[in-house]
Amino acid sequence: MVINKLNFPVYGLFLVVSLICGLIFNYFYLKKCKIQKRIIFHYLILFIPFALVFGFTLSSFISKDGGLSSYAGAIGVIVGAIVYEKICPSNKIFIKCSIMSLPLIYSVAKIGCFLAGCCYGLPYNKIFSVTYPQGLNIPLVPIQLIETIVFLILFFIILLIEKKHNKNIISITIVLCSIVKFLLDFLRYDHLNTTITLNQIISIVFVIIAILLNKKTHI
Amino acid sequence: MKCKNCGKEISEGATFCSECGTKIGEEKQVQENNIQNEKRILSSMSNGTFFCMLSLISLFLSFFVKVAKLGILSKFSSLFSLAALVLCIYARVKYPKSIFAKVLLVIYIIFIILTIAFIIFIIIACKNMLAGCSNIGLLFYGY
Repeated sequence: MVINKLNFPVYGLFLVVSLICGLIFNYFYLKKCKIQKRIIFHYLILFIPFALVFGFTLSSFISKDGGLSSYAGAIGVIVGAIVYEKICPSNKIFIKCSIMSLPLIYSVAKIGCFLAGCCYGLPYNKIFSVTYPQGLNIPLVPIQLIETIVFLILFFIILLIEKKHNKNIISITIVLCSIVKFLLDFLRYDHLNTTITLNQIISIVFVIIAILLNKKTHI
Repeated sequence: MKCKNCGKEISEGATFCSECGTKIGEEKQVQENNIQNEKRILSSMSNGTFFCMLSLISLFLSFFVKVAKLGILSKFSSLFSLAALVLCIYARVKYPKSIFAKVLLVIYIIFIILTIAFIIFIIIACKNMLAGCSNIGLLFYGY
């Protein structure tokens, strides 16, 4: 994106902003759960490095064009929370709040994808279609914006469910996000001549893992 | 005679020290407690130092693996850096009195901030190379 003749790296900017949003949510949620500030501070130090390192390292295996994979970053965030839970056991509160922050992080990061012109949708020339002159130069489904809005709504729904029930919120979040991502993936350009994409396979795996975890540990 | 806890002169026959309030005869208990506390602090600092040394070894390994270009292991060099950070935070959480852990964590935080700033600078500077997220992935895959 060009702003005032400066080619602005909006993708990187929104990636950082999305992680900061996740950090802020984690801070306030843990503060609300009366965790000591010192403990929260040490957890937040791990948050971004885990997300970025796993995001870049695993993406080289998950993403066919070498791009960043959202699932890789999500795995990084969850692994970071599990590691910190081992250092500072607190009834899985770190795992819970890190997983609850994932839809918010994904939603904000997709704005960067929309502005940068990547992860675009299927060809579509009706209302709200988007054309990237530097890219395919054909009208496409604004799938990035759809994902932003849907995952933001999902984030608030998860907050409401957590407020009312609080049990099984980890598995509920994973199942809901994976199912929504699975369905929205049908509108992405990668799905043009493919029956099922790698992202959809990973979504199915996550749903299975979440259901098994729920049966075994009721989280 | 002198109080064995704080060293103040106290009169013969006094049952309590007027300075620190220690009961005469309980000084030995207080002294023993002080010795135990000092031993605990020293033990905590040495254990914290142990994990900090492990952290530094892990950091060194990550640089070595990256520079030596050991095939597929080079892709995971950043995981060694992550392990270094985890070990430092473990030392900091479990042994809060360890000064080594405190200083090492501050150094790591400064390093992370500088790395992120450097990445942002590279992204802005190399605008032709980084047309979208696919190129960012390739840049860091090779780093």
